[in-house]
Amino acid sequence: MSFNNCLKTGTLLRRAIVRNHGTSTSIGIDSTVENNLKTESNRLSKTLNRFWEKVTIEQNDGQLKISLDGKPLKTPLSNELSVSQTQAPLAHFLKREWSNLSDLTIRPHSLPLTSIVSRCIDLTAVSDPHCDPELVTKIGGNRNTICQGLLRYLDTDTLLCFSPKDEFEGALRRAQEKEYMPLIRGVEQFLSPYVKNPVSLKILDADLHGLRGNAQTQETKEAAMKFLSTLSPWNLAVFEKTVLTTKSFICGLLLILNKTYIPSAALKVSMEQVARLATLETIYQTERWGEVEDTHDVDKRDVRRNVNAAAIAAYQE
Amino acid sequence: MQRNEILSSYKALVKTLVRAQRRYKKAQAEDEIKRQVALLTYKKINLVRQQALEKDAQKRLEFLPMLNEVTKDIDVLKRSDPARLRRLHFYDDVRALRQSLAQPSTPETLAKRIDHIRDIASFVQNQHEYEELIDRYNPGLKMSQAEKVKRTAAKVGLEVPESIPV
Repeated sequence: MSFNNCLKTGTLLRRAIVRNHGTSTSIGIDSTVENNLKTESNRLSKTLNRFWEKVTIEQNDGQLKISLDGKPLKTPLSNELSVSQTQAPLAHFLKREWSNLSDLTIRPHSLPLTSIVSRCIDLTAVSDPHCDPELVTKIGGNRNTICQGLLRYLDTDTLLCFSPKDEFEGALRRAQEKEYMPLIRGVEQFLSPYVKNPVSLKILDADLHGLRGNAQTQETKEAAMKFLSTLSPWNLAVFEKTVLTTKSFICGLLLILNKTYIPSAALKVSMEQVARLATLETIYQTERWGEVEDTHDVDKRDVRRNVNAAAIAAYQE
Repeated sequence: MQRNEILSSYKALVKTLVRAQRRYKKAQAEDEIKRQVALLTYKKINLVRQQALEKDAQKRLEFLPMLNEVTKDIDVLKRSDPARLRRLHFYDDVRALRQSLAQPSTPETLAKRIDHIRDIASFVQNQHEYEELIDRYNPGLKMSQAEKVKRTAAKVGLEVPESIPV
């Protein structure tokens, strides 16, 4: 098995262990410290029972606020779940998520949009310099810690790992070179203006490098950090979600560029493409060996629903 | 040209939404029926009690038509099939959805919005399929506590006595 293969199985295994549906985890954030703040999302995640009749969208001060039975819905950190008026479709689908829940037990995975938007709102709230340091700990560290964590994904980015030429008669390698290479060049061009010299991303080629880690140069990291510092807290949360889903810094960058800026022609991609890029190796593996039930089929939808949820949250005209 | 495209992507989105929410609506309708049946049963029990307290035979007879009606209502509710409800074929909030998506725009933002509508449709579709798969592979998630206890006992060849409430 190649190194790339090992990596993927590792993630798969880890995901299989982490995946524990129906347990009482905090709905808004996946890895935060559990807290007992009196918020609707906490109440829901602790009792796992529906306790409201009507979900409404209330409009004031250019904000669209989601309310349950007239009471504002709050994020895990006790901020109101509201989005800007320009994001009307997002508010609509947040409302839909809450009104669609049935009286049966509610599972954390049934509120993906709420989860990502809560994270966006909470991250924005703790970005305020006068914020309570305890809240910063609850959300998993300050902006710098989060950025440093995300930066590590650039070293072993899914889009920077190339399979050996003899696997799948070279078909996978050909596809990777065809689909990854133009994007890698595009990202290098995009990051270059942030530092003095042109950025060049280090690629992990299984044929040349075999079993070893990968690390980007200091200058590349600096450029990536500078790019991250230009993101609003809201977009940083979306970026984080995408990177964690796709295991790829580049995919996160592509999503943000396509949904909030106007990307250069080389970096224009659809969200389906992003999901495909992130799972290219799995696509070839399942083509050859068949799908494993309860694994490949579930993961395929999981990646897509998360990438699309991130895209919906990030969308700006 | 773009108008057609945005219209077709919007239609596809509504279709996906209807398909995805059928499940939730059905579950909600089933719950509603269960609640109504419980209410009517309570009403029926009360009527029977009142009837038993009544000493006058003539007045006792007056309860019969009321009791019959409640029993009939319960029967009708129990026989109704939530899967055949008309409202399963419509998306409730379609006006709000259209309003939120139909903001004025320039040709460039329109192209972006078409992509956005497709992203939403894809999200709804994948979320729906994901939940279906999770339910299929984890039948225990939707089981009631009593059912879980029963099955656990059955695993070691025991049966839960009926008289003991779990």
